[in-house]
Amino acid sequence: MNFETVIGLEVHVELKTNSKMFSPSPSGFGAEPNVNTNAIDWGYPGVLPTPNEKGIELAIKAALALNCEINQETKFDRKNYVYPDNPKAFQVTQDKQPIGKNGFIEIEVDGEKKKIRIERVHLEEDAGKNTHGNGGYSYVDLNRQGTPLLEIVSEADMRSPEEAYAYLDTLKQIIQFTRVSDVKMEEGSMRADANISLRPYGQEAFGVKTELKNLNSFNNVRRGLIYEQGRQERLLLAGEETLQETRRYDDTTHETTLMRVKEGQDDYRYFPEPDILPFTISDETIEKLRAELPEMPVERRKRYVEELAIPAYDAEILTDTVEMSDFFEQAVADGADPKLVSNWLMGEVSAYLNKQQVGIEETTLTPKALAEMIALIEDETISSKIAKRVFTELTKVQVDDVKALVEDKGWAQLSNPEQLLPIITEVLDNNEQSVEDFKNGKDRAKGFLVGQVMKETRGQANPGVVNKLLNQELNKR
Amino acid sequence: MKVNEKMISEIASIMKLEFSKEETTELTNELNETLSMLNTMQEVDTTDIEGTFYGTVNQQSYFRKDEPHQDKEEVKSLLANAIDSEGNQIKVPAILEDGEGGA
Amino acid sequence: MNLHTKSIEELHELLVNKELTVVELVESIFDFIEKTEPTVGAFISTNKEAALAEAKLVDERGVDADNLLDGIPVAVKDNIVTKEGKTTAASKMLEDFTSVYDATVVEKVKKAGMIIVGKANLDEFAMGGTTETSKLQQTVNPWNSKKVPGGSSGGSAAAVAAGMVPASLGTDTGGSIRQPAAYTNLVGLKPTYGTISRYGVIAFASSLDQVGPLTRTVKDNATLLNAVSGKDDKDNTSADLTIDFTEKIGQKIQGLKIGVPKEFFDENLVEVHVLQTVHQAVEQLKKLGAEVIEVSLPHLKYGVPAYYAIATAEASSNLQRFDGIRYGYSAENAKSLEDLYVKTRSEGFGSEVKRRIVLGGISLSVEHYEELYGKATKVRTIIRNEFEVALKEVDVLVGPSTTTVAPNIENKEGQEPVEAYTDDVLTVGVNLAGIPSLNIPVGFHENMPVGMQIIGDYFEEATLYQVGYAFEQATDYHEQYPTLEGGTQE
Repeated sequence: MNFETVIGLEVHVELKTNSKMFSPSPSGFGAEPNVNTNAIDWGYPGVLPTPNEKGIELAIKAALALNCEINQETKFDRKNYVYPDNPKAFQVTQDKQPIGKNGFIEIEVDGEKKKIRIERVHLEEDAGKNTHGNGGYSYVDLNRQGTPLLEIVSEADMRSPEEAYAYLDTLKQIIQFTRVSDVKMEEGSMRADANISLRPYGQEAFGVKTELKNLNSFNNVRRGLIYEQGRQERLLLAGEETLQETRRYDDTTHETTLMRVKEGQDDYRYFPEPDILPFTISDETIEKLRAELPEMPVERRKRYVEELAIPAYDAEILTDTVEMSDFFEQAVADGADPKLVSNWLMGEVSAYLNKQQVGIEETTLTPKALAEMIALIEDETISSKIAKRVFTELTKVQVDDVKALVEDKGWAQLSNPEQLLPIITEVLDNNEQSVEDFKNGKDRAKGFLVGQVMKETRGQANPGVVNKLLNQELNKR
Repeated sequence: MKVNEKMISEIASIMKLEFSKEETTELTNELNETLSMLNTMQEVDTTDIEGTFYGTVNQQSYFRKDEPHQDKEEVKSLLANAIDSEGNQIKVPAILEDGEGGA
Repeated sequence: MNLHTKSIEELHELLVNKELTVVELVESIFDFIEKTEPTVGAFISTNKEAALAEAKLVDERGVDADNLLDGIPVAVKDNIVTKEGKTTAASKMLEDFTSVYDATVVEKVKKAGMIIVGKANLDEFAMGGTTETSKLQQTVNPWNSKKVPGGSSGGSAAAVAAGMVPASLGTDTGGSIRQPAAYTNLVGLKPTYGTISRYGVIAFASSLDQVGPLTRTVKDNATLLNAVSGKDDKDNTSADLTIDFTEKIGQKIQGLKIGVPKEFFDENLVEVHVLQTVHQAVEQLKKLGAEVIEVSLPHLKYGVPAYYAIATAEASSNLQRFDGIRYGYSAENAKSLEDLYVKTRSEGFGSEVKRRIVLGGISLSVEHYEELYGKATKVRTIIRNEFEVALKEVDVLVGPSTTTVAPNIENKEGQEPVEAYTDDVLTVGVNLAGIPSLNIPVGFHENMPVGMQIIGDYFEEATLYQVGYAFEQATDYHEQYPTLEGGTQE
């Protein structure tokens, strides 16, 4: 390729507050249209915004997690534009003094680490939702209007669609670990727009950039950028000019189509929002919020591998979400063997979560219960076969005492020779033919006898102990 | 600064207003007079002066606690005031995609 | 008994002494409104039934002897939203609009036991100084029906001046309370920005708008301010303070330093008779023991351009929401969404409002921000600093509230916008600085009232009332009432 690709990303994430950024309406996904709205969200004559403390805190936390400097003297601005999903005809946002600036995150592509700088992180309100109907009408639902939204603008530091993908993936994890947003692209709580341009290698000045919209999944970001990279390259090789365009990614054709050509800069007539006074973020607030930041996935993975002897691949999976990672750590803290916890989480538990399409935090399973169950397997109170039944119970109802559950259900493994011996003796007495066969060298006969013991004990006999006792008894005959 | 009719038509269109030819001419003349009055501000030396954007001095924003409040009756009244509604949504003439999909 | 010239204080006495019931008072008021309103045109809407129902409730529970405002009728400017009845902002855009909530000041006057009798006329969206830009009706000056009542709170002023209500609420963005109060012989206050919640006040210019009371006497004014002020969780710019604004009423002004800014007493600016009248008022203050000091506010004249660059910028943003979709006027037969926007706004707004929206759009545009809005905010800082410096030297500043007495109706319609705008030079500085200013009646010229403003430092309203009350006690201008066709005179 003759050109270097230059990519910058603008990512929006919805912050997880109970109420909206500037009105007390409930903030939430999936409610009946417009029920989470009030006169403020509708931009009624005379209404005024009231900023949500939690929204500010979450924004500061996210900015800190992205290694930003905090603008301690900050304020809100109005961005004026007319659209049906923007009821006041201005969006309250931050123009000149974003809450965070000059941050970075570290990404890894093909084993190579790279720092991607973050230009700014600012807090704003989300718009409502328009849907296009038939018969010349559209529909407006303002439930989303006013939801706190964080805009994270990267520098144009990415040089390939793969880097852009890695950036999004890393960013999503950091935000998710910080617990400020659900960051679910499919639910729209994370959205990405990409700017992409090409320039000849060695040239310092950026080429003319295209803005890509409707990139509604990580894969689409990558596909859209790959398509756009190719399109721009063809144009440039043909000696044509690329234009400053906004293009839409089409999910079905995997191509981008022109939405509009930009003439100069859009004029949003920004000015300070006179209805919300500026404010100072104190050192104490910053330090308090910084102290609340969790350990980030990169550090956690490193620790899992180095201190807990978890394989790198497993560590990756365990740190996919903060909930999974916290669950893992809590189960270990509750005394379970890390490797066993990891095996369970990556095996049985993940299978269950995938089947149910839920997150681990949405289940009745607790780290303590898992740890107890693992302990019961280890001390041979239950077999791994029974453990699966125990696990099924743990996903039905929250269990505080797994041992009691096992006892109640009568699922404890029979390991006591004094209890097992009479059963074994009885089985041998009743199956003289098999004993005979065994003595004649038919090993399969022993398997049958074990099976009989298990049957007699409804599967609860400890197979190791049964084997041992059986050998001993057979030898006696 | 001075404005001409073309500029006035452009800004009017951004502000979603429409003026007839005569109105535009009249408005342009009136605004040029007003702008020449506003232009007297340029006589003031404002070097190193910070702007005042708020009505208060030495006052800072305070913040609301994150407590949600829902009022379904209010929602009904809001929908009743709208131009049209259907299925709890505001019904508007078709929106044409122009790339400004909100934030 | 003639109730129509009585102050709140006097009416309260009658109510407490059971010489009058609240229902009788309200009935009498509506009888009077029926007679005088056809001439004055102060109200866009009245609600007799609701007012009488409220009055009955107050009578039933008994008037609170400790609450001067209990059972007292009040008018509210029609850019302050009410759940009851319509709120129009005197615009075709909101001609049939009913709000879904009450403004905080409306909640407060109700909580104080006051009875809202109606919504007062104004210049459309409070943009004007004569109430002539109202798209719904013409209000005249009760002192002379050929004259304007001033504006934009012209209806609020005329209703009190004519004797229809003892008090009203107006809003003041660049003089909209003080100027009509001056034109109609009333006490009118533009409080310190942040004193009264703006929640529910249809925004014109957010960093300048303030609600304020219009009354016949200084004490009534302070009493009403006490009731409607205070921090509101719904208004981020409202100030957190507890002040009894009546606390200095009755205190002598002996030794108080009164600044006379020479820029307010400029003969090239202010009509000579108005100037003479205000000079006499200053002499009166001297007689009362105040020390009069000449001061200067050299950048005052730049207040007008700064005000218009800022107020129109904010207005252009505030008024963009009126688009025919969620509430208010929607143009018929729109062919598309864009067509709906443009038709609704072009038909729904009057010419002055549109003129200001376009000017505000220019002021905020990337090309002109630095020379218009941006420059104006810096000039605002200078003006604010000058007021602050002057008010460190003296306790209050005084000067004429208007350049002339009330002009003839239609005079200003024909007037070029620029001329109308420059008339605001005496009032807009106070809004830019955010400080309080009180208009009091100080005399007459050709039977038309002249007003003087008393300007103070932030949250020093009590001092303004102290000075105003001292002056009021020494004079009888506030006891003069207009003769009205079908009306009364003391």
